[in-house]
Amino acid sequence: MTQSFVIIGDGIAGSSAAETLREEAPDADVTVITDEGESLYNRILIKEFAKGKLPEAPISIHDESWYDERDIDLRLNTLVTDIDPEAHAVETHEDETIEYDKLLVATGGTPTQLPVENSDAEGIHHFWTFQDARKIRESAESADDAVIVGAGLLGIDLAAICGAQGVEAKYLMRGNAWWRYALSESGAEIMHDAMREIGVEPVFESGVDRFEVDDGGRIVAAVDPNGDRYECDWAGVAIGLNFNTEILHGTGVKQNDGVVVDQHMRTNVDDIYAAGDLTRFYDTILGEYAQNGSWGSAKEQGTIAAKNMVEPESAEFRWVSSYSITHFDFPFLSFGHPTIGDDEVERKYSDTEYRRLALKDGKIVGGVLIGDLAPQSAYKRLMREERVVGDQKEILLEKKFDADELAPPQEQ
Amino acid sequence: MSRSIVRPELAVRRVESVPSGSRVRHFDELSDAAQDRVLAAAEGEATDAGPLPADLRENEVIVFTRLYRVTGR
Ligand SMILES: Cc1cc2nc3c(=O)[nH]c(=O)nc-3n(C[C@H](O)[C@H](O)[C@H](O)COP(=O)(O)OP(=O)(O)OC[C@H]3O[C@@H](n4cnc5c(N)ncnc54)[C@H](O)[C@@H]3O)c2cc1C
Repeated sequence: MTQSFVIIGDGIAGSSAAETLREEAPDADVTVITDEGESLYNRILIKEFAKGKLPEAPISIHDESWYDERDIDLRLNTLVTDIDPEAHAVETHEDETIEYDKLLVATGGTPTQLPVENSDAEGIHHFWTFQDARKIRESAESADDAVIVGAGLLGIDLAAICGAQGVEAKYLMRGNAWWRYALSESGAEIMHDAMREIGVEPVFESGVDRFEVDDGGRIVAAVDPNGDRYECDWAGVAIGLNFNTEILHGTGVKQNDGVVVDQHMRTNVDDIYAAGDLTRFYDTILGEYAQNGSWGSAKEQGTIAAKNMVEPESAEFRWVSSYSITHFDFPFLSFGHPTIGDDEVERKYSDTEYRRLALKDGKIVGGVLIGDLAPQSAYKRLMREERVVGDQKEILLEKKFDADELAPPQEQ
Repeated sequence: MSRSIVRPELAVRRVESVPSGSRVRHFDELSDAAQDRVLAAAEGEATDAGPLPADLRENEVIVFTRLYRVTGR
């Protein structure tokens, strides 16, 4: 009998799973269901579109013919509303029932709304889909002033869009530095300077207490908890992601701030797998459960899930994730899990060069590089190899880091 | 592991705009080896030579701090 694979979500995790399933199981039925109105596009390039630096065309990755050619049944504009693990079936918003032998949940997340007055007013943008990017670009092209909220990797994209579109912005941060969980103030200062240079002013110990709107319900200002008022034509909010897991309600699939999967992307419920941003996966490098929110990791998880859906336990997810910021004259790259660990080393080499490594049990578990990314692949390799290097911090931080200068690995 | 294949006629070069019809990818989509190659090109280093990592395709444009294109030498 022909096997039937159903994938919910046509982001990079779902789409790479579909591609792998077709390669590994040429005769199987493969169905991809997405509530979006367009097939896979490059979510990590939509910021360049919003900046006005790229047209629409190269953002698209697969057009519908890609699915036709591979005999993959793509359902656009279709929201899955329920999963019935007993019946091995999913239900759509149009009450259609689609049966599966193996199911992959790759539904990603939805940006979190600020829990403050008028947070859904017109002119307040969240940033996840291509449609969001189109609206942000439209707002930015006709605006003078904006407010950005969310001192992390997506917030800085919104700041860069303001810079590229000539919008003056106030970047309201709750603490005293951008992404304070991953880098120190001295490292963050490099990013703050870069923001100022493009016309985005970081405002520390701030945040949003409420938004003010005009009679038409359109945002006119943000007021922070100190009572300071920032007039704006639009606001961009990037304070986090809520995973799209409503459909798992009642399925028995274990969740713990994310869908819990093993290194094979398998949930605790038979024949249900998960991949991409929404997973809390068993990280074989760390030896504990972890989360990634990056394109490369989501793609790899989709591929690994698909292989295991065809041939159980045939592939294992073992990956050092990596995420860069390329908006400024100098590059920024974070890898692994820079916000965890029991030890750290950092050094600022110049006004645009900085490095910080997070260590756990003497092993590199993540890091942030600003300015000079040359040692990135060597650090990632040490992390992947689980090398104990915590006793050689000086060598790790040498400007021209050379992994060959480290003491040879000890036999474990 | 990403493979390298010998395509000596190709190199990573900085460009000012995206030629129409080009495939465009972000730096984060590349293998470590391909990332290193783009970094070398950005720094104007001699390591931007030799076999190109297999995941870099001719004529594609990479979005990094500037635009880089995989193109003939
Ligand atoms: C603006 C922006 C910039 C980014 N920049 C970078 C970067 O520079 N580098 C990097 O590595 N990462 C970056 N990321 C993160 C990266 O894009 C994500 O980690 C990755 O795309 C996650 O892929 P995914 O397939 O897990 O989820 P998603 O891409 O979110 O896909 C999930 C899909 O499932 C659909 N869906 C949800 N629920 C249902 C349902 N019930 N029924 C049907 N369909 C459903 C959603 O609509 C969506 O299409 C960025 C993200 C954004 C938003």
